[in-house]
Amino acid sequence: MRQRPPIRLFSLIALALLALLVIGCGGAAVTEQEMPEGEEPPFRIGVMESLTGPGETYGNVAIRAKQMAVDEINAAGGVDGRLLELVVEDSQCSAKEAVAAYRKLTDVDGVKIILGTSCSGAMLGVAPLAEADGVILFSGLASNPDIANAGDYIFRTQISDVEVGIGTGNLMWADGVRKLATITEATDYAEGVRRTTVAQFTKRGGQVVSQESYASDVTDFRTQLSKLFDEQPDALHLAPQSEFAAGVIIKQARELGYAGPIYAETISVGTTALEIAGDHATGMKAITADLHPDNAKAQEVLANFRQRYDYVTLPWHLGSAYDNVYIAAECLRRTGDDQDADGFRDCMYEITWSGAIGNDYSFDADGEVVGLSRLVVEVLPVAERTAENHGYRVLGSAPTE
Amino acid sequence: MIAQRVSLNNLLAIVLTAAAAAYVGWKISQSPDQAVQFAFNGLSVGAVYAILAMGFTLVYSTVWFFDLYYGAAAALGAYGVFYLRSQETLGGLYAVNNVFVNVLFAAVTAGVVAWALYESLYPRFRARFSPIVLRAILGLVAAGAGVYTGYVLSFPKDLHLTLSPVIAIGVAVAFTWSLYQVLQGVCAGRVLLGLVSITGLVAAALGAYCGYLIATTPDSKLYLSWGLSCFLAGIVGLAFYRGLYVYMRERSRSPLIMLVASLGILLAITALTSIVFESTPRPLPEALGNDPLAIAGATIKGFNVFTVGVALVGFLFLQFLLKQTAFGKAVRAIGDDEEVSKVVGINTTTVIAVVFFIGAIYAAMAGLLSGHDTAIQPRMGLLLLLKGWIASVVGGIGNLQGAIVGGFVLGMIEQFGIWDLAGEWRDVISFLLLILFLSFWPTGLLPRK
Repeated sequence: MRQRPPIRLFSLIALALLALLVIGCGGAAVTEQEMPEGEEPPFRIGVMESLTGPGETYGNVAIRAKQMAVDEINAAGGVDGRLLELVVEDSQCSAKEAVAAYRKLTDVDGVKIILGTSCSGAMLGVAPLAEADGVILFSGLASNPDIANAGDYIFRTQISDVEVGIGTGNLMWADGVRKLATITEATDYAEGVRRTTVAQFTKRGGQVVSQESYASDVTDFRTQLSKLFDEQPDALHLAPQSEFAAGVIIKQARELGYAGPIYAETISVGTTALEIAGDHATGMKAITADLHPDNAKAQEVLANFRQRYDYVTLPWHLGSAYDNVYIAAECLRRTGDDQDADGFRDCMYEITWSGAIGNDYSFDADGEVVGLSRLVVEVLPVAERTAENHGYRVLGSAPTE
Repeated sequence: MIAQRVSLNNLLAIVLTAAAAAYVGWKISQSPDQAVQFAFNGLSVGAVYAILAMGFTLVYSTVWFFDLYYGAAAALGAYGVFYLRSQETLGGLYAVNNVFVNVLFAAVTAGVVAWALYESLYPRFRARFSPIVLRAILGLVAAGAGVYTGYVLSFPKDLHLTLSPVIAIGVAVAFTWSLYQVLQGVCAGRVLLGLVSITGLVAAALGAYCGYLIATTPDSKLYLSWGLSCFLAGIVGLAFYRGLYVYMRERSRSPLIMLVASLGILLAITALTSIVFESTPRPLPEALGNDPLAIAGATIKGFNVFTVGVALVGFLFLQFLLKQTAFGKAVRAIGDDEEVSKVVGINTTTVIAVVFFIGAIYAAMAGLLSGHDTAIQPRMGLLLLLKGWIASVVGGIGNLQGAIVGGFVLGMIEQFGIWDLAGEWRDVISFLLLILFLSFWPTGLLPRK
């Protein structure tokens, strides 16, 4: 007779692994509000952000800003006396995971209004489903130009990358760049930034002398950078999807001895990106959406966020996600029903909003935000970077001509 | 027939080498600066591949099965450094210290120390003490080692303080032992004992001074974390061999079972790493020599030069170990025929366990060096494992010289291969190289004698 396998030992190991798994996942869970008895049920809104994956830095800022806005609204009595409740799913910055999260939110949780997602790829993956199901998809962060044509139920407060591309192309031309090298992450967002930038830059008369793209899990960019610099470009244009890649590319470019200017976008001036790049990032210019220093609401939101979470990063994304909740609350106040996606959609087309990211902005027929603009910033030396200036100084509005 | 086949292969090798040389020569004449830069890049990644291939060859040519834990060991080495130094990485944004991880490694360490003591001390003292007392003492020492490991892992900020006593004792013991070995050849008996006890005092003073130096140098923490995470990766490798593979090898003769088991280990460790550290890449803290050095129109980081140095030292050490010591002879005997080695009195289990320990340390070293050079991510283990495997096949599986040559050759081919292609083709080129070698020259550049 064969010896029986030690089943007890296996179960113990399995139990230990399970315990580790539960503890590991515990960090991502967001506590839900408890509902007082005898009151009307809360309005339930779905949220999809990249809590893990390449978009985790901005996804987590977005989710925290949204939770802060919800808590503020609930503390002030809710929406016409009804509380607001977020149902959170992780879209992991990927179309595949976002579709799974979307299915969970609509089929299991039965929500009709979803705030998200953090990444353009995830947004473009889910948008056709939301459009077919008549579910609202309202993003504060996704910026790919194609989202404009994604459908009637698709909205965003993020400014389209077409604007970033035009701004960056013009800025480089104005700075005297004639020969450009580009390095781009192979994702919808990053490709969108590169395409629109290159289109504007070549329209002005510039020339792209070399271009490289990389997969999201690459960590060694030196060979590609060596090839780019061998063409003697005047400047390097960088379009990443993750802050990690942005920081590492800047660092490795400088370590290869490249001393020319670097142009980039919002992700590349995030806290993590600048932390990785260190002083190598000093002097880099980026077109980014930033909160206006004169906007009192913006400064209040940032102060509250810092008090609550003890850090601030990507302030514009933070403010955009925060505003989304207030806009959603206002439309829920008007419709009075969190299952009425059509009423919510009509409200979005009518609404004019003033919040953290700007005053009197509205949405056009494509669901695109109107009335906001981007800024050109320059990264400061490490010694001058503070939590207040986010590591850069604002040079002015992005050139439109 | 066979002779014809061999000559055909040689012909193919000559044609391919000539074509590659002509292409590279033409490209170099076009842009010499670029060529130097590529050569530096190739040297940097080649050194990591070489370290991987050496450890891999050591393990593979001893037990002749494809141990996929080797890749996990590379990731463990890199993540060990991140774990111990995460407060300094990215301004502490992603600092992590998990009590379950600490307990896990403490338990594994206690188990391995218990095994080591049981193997080395138990047979010697069995005659003098009662088995119960002896076992209790050894058990207590092992438990102490486990508790100490857990303590060190729980307070990574004070690594220079918590590790300095161990280093002091280690230096003293190593000094005494090596003097004992030397003096043994010169004198014997009472004179020897007297001399050793005198040098023991000197060794104690030397050890104490080393410990003091480390305890008062907080900058040493990063390098201590290198040592500690390599050691822990090695311990885990040993534990997997002694706790799992030994029984599987006794029961089944098929290397396929071992392959699947070690694949499970690799996937489980990768998944656990993603849970504890999240799946996105992370950088390691700044190590020595991150400033670029400009040489001949190209640049190379000081750290990459250091990595090449580590590869060479690692090669010399293994060469010495295998060729000059009794342990090395045992390893080579087991690699040639394990059954016969057992018959002639070699404790094969112990020797192979130590081989797994050393192999995992090489993997961990390669992992952390590659991590410092670029970045770490949970999937890095599998990628590094495959590159180490390709380098061993190219160099000649089972041959140490082949491993180091194969590592640098692979690094160079990867870099020069994508001169006219996009960077994404790098991995395609390595795997094409693997297929080419497996089909036509399965014994590699320097075949095992």
